[in-house]
Amino acid sequence: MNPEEEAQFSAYVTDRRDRMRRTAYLLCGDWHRADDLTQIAFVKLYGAWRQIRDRGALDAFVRRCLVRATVDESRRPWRRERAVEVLPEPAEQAGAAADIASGVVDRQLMRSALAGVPPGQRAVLVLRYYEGMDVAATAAALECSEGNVKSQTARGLAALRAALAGLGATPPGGEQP
Amino acid sequence: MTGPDSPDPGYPELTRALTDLADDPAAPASTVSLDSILAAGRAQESGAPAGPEPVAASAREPGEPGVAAVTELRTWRRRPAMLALVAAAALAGIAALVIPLSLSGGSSTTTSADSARVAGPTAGSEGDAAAAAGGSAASGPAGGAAAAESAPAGAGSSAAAGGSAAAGSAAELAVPSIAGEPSSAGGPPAVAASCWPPLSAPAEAALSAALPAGEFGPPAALTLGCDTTPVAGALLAGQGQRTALAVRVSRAAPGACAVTSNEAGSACTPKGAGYLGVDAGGTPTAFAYRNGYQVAVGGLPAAAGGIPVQPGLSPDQLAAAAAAVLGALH
Repeated sequence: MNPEEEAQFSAYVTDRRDRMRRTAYLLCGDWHRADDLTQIAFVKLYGAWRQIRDRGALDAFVRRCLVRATVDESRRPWRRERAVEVLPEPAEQAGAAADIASGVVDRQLMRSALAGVPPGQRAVLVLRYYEGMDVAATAAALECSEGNVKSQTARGLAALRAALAGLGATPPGGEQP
Repeated sequence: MTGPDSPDPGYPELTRALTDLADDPAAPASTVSLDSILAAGRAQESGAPAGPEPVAASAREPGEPGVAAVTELRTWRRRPAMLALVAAAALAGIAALVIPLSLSGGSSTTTSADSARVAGPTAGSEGDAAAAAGGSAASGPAGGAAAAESAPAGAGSSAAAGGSAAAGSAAELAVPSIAGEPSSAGGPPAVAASCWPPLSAPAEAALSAALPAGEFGPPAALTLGCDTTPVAGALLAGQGQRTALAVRVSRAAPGACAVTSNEAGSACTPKGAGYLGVDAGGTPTAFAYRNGYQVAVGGLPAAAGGIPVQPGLSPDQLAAAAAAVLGALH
């Protein structure tokens, strides 16, 4: 990468680093892991910088790297979910969430609920409802079919709803039948 | 939250919830710096290690790998694939060596290049080679005769000393090469230039059974030229001094009586199921044919030194030996 390209890359990273870090956090639920994932995604972007001629596609590339890295990391043995007898921090959060009359759950509750959604479905939810991407763009970012995005969205929403209900909170959008 | 593709009443709230979660003011400061990304990217391009850990190790829970650890794990994942590739390449190399050797019987390493090199010279060069072997300045057919005369001088004593041991090995007969192999003055005969693979075990057994017991030694390599299309051959040293029996299996049409190119079809007459040929030196050779094969059993022709067969071995016995060898071919 020549100095001019490196300057462009630096400008892009500086501009998008925080946003990508937040997306990574929503994908993995941990700020430190989000830092790792962000670093991995940007390093991959560094290696592919010359191949990406359409600068408008940079965000999509980094998001795809983030999702891939998140799913890869979630498959590692030390990342797998473990069954525990007692859920961490259940009663206080459930009670606090119940106090929110508007039904909007607080951060900790939402984070716990998101953690209960499988990584692939969580990625779909984040891309669609946080990044604001439509079905087609989400399918392109995840390299899957639109039908798969739709089904994963439905399952992810159901999982999120179930997780929130399990924590005693009201899901966004109201009660579901 | 109703359907994945329908207007979602939970969309704004979910978006708001996610945004609120992502904009957590209590989030720790980012440890991802532009410098660390650039350093890792440069290291990745140059293939060097990623350098110092970009993320503060103290901020990470125990047991959680950082970027460097992840990179190392990816290297470990690729290692089995690389090892498998190396192993496959090694296997292919070994197979490329072992299979040709096993197909050639393991005892003869004659290649087509050797055959072409040996078969290349013509009758004119035969004389030169024979003259060189004999150390004489003679050329042409006379040179071949001179070589035949001089050949026993070096090996005759050992053949005589062999006596009952069937005159030692056939190699000791120092059969002159008719292939035109440049056997330089003072050097050994061009034994390695033979393009006659040894007889198969069944053929050797059939030959031994067809010959009178004790008259000939064990089959040895036949060091003749390749004017015909050789399949197999053997040279059996006889009891008497400078007697031998040459067995040549080649591909030829029935009745060709071809032993070398310059004597093909000479004085060949039908005899029984095969043919009997007698060359200019009076050396008889029995020929038998089947399935495109020719089996010639007899003494060495004049062009090859003119070593006669064992005295007392009749043409019928030669024909029987040829038929036996022919019957043992596949």
